[in-house]
Amino acid sequence: MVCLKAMQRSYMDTSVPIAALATAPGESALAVIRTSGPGAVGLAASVFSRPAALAAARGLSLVSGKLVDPASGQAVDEVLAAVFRAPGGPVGDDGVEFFCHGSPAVIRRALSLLEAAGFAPALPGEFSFRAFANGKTDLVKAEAVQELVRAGSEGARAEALRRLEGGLSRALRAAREALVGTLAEAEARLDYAEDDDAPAGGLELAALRGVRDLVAGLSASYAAGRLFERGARVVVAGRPNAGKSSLFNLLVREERSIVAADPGTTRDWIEAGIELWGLPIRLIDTAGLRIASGEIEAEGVSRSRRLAAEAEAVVYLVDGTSGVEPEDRAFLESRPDALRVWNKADSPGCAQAPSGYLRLSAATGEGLPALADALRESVAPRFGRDDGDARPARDIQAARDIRVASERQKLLLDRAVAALDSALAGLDEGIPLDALVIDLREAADALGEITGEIASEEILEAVFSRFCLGK
Amino acid sequence: MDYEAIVVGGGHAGIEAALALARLGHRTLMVTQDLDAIGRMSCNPSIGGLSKGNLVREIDALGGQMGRLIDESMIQYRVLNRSRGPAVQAPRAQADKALYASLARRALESQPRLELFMDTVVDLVLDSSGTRVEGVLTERGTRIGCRALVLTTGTFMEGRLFIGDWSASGGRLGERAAVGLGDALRRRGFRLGRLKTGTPARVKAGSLDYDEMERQDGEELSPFSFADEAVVRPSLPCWITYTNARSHEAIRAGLSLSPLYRGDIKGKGPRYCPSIEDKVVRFPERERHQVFVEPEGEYTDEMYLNGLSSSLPEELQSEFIHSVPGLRRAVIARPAYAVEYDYLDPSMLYASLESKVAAGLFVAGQTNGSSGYEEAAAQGIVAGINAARSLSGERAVILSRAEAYIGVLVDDLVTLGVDEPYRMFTSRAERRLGLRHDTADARLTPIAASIGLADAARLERFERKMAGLGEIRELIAGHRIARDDISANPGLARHAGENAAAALRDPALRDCLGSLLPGLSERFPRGWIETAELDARYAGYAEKEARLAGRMERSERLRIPEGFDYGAVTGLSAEAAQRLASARPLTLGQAARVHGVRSADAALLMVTILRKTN
Ligand SMILES: Cc1cc2nc3c(=O)[nH]c(=O)nc-3n(C[C@H](O)[C@H](O)[C@H](O)COP(=O)(O)OP(=O)(O)OC[C@H]3O[C@@H](n4cnc5c(N)ncnc54)[C@H](O)[C@@H]3O)c2cc1C
Ligand SMILES: Nc1nc2c(ncn2[C@@H]2O[C@H](COP(=O)(O)OP(=O)(O)OP(=O)(O)O)[C@@H](O)[C@H]2O)c(=O)[nH]1
Ligand SMILES: [Mg+2]
Repeated sequence: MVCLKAMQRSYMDTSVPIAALATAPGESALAVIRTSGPGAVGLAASVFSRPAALAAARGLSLVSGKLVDPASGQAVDEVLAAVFRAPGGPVGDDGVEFFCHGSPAVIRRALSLLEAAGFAPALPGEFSFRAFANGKTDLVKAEAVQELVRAGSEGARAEALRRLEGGLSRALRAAREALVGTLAEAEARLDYAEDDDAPAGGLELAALRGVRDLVAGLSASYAAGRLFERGARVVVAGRPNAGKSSLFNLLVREERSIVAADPGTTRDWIEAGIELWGLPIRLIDTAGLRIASGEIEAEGVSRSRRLAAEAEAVVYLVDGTSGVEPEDRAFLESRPDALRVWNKADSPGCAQAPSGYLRLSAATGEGLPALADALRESVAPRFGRDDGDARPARDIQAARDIRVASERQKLLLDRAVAALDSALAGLDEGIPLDALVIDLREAADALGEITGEIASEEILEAVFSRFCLGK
Repeated sequence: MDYEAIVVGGGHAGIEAALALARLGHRTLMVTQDLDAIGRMSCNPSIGGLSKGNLVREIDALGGQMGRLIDESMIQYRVLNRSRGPAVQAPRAQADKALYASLARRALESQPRLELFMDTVVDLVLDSSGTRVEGVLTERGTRIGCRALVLTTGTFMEGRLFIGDWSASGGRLGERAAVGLGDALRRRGFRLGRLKTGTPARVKAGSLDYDEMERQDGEELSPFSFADEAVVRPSLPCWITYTNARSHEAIRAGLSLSPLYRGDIKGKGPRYCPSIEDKVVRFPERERHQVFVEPEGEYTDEMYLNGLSSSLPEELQSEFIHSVPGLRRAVIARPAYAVEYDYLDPSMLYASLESKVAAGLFVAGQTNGSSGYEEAAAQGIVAGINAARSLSGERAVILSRAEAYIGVLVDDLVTLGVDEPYRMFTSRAERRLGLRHDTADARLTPIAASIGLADAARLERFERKMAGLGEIRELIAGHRIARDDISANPGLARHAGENAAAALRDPALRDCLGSLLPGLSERFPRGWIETAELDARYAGYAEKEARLAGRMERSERLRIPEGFDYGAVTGLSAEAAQRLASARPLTLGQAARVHGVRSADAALLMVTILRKTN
């Protein structure tokens, strides 16, 4: 029906605040996240460590602070915020540009924070479009903007979909189709009275759950695709002198990290790209975790914590000759999924490993195969694989193909999953169908934004063709 | 004798249009073919139903007549879809057809400034430039002048009836078609098309076997109109039965004799209201189809066979009717038939329902390609209001899609046009939760008041209700859940310290309001409490819905300048430019909904408009 067309976000909704990564995706020194639209500064302030300072900032001024998840209070990144006020700035609307660290994980978290705060993911070329609408670009550039808009709406979508060839795009279509089917069924129930021949009973939970899992799977494979591109981060952490650098070297098979007998040798992190079981891994050696003695080391320690928090996996070393200390417990509580390793097994002073710890000698290599197995088990699923053994080339190729898919698509998939989760929860709680359908429409809307398809007429069509209704 | 306004047609659209015009102070003439057919229900003997019930309540909230007519003529009342949620519940009533029609006629006859005249309009009178309406020409050669004209010709314009291979000119069985007007409008360059619809047979009540059917009783009668306190009327049962394999065989065997399958009928029929032939052909796997047997009135023996609309030959009709339990010995009083008629392409209208071709000409009802009494009446009141406002030089009243089903209906018709008879569905609305039938008065009565269609009694009732709702809301928001509440209802424990609204939002706690605020039911009518309760319960979802729908709001407000040159927009596809030029949308939002206009086209359009207006 027409309804869904209207819900499709379009370039004309210039009252919607938008956000997107303005720099090229991928690893880089610096990334710029641009936000713009009415109320953008206030919204941005809601995820900023100094909300009042940001909200009060004048146009064309800089404010330093952190992007903070208001739910957990956790800082995502230290950033510099450039504030623009309408009609100034590059777009001509209120807006904030965040200069942050160019780590894809940071960018991803920052963007989802902003989306949760109320920013919509920008459509391709949307900032330029608004700049033009606000009279910020001159007429000479008009043609270029028109090209952009055109490419942005139909072309870019088609292009992105072309890139999504194969299993994934099929899966996306299948998910949408199933969702439209469910919506049609819901609408048929809603638009015809119970005593008419409308389908009886509740909506099929199983079908809806299937759609949800399909979309969640898609979102995961987007993540996997990005992981193939970037490598899964495996952080080696532990107190000073636990043997982190020794293990790092063992794995990298290069004397890249300085091994020394004084605790606190590694002051900052060191990274090496390796391939394990065909999966790209970024192995990261970090500074030992402890109350730091110097300023530089303190910075190193706090960075270690941050790296460990963002990593796909953590290998946590405990020196078996000195045992578990309060710092170890504190860390393991914050990252319970870390692989626990009892190092220096070869040393005569090494105590019995507590349960849950893998015995290892980074000096002799004893216990390394078991550690590798455990590591593979924890990392492989991130690549969308249950086990790391088989490496069907096709699979990896498909996953590599979608690395071009934008953050935006991933956010839209996540939005669809969230809406479907809410619908499923509502169904469980006995929320009536007409309210639930709002979530279903939102999900269809999000998927439609990726594929460029509009559910509207389709749903009505499905209602009429599937159900014999009407007296 | 000239009038300020003329309304052509005394159907459901014409009634509302004429009353609105006269009530707003304009000397109005209704010209209709047969004064005895005013307000006649051509098809089903009922008013309301899903989304249609909402339309009736909206018409009423705007100061229209339909709600009051059905309140005084109902012979059964039910609220449909109670189990499916607040937004899709709707009242529906069986009507005493004869009584309904006579009440309609009485309402017209007792309306000051309104006159009735029996004749058939065969042409418009336009000014010399052909762009402004000046009156009508009737079959008997009379020319009547006017400054505003509302056309509501229903199924009568060049209407043709079909039963098997029998076919004749007519608007309804036994009533003449309005011949000549459609052709005259074609000659004048209006775009017309053909649509079809059908109606089932009527059978004699005394010839049915009721023990073979399921009885369906109504519930306690309740008024549609916000101005009516209560309804005191008889309540009659309906009956349910089903077709079977034998019926379907008979229908299949006779398909070649159907005018539709013979190709005699060219117009497109509604998919949502299929004839029994259609159902059997399109759903071959269905073993049976439901039939409702409904009384046509208190003082008639005719019963309506809801679900068995057909245009098969009469012998075949009686064959399949007689195959149905309960109807085996049915005596057929009127046969089922189909009607094909001219409609005017509604995309040639502005959202005020005024023609883009001829100023002063308004079109409403089935003439615009809609179907259904409620859809017709809804357009009728819009056309009547806007005709009146154009007469007094005031800005048109255009209801938004977020404000009323009427807004959705009119916007869909004028921006999308029709290719099958248009019926309202709740799913056509973006903000279904915001358009509950019980909130129609809150949404629209202030508008009625501001344009002068709400009388003092209605306004007084309205204000009392709004104040009451405000009090109930305050009581809900102000009630903290305390120990006493929890000991009375342990489910409330997890809301300790929160207010009553929080508990209402909890789906596990249906019906907790009565125990939380027992005093409410003594102080306020049940309907008010229900409204406040639903508002509180679905506030979260309503917000979500508003947020989703609100994304388009700005483009709804951005007006496209009159005479805008789509050809001059660089980059606009030729197809979009041509479609927009012919659709002449008023706002960017409308433009974006025109078929064939892509979001990129709309974006370019916006840029161009903004640049022009800045
Ligand atoms: C056979 C049949 C089947 C139908 N089936 C359905 C159905 O299944 N579902 C459904 O929702 N609706 C159905 N309807 C439609 C429903 O009756 C209409 O939607 C509704 O009555 C339309 O109201 P209206 O005011 O537009 O026109 P009508 O109620 O048709 O009234 C038009 C009036 O205008 C008069 N008139 C027309 N032209 C002229 C003229 N030139 N000069 C003077 N007077 C004129 C006519 O005499 C008539 O009184 C059916 C109608 C018919 C006839
Ligand atoms: N016997 C024995 N010694 C080890 C083992 N692993 C590391 N060592 C020794 O422990 C000391 C510290 O090793 P590193 O690898 O530098 O430890 P680290 O955890 O990186 O320490 P910092 O970088 O200072 O935090 C060195 O003298 C290593 O030779 C092991 O498995 N067995
Ligand atoms: Mg080290």
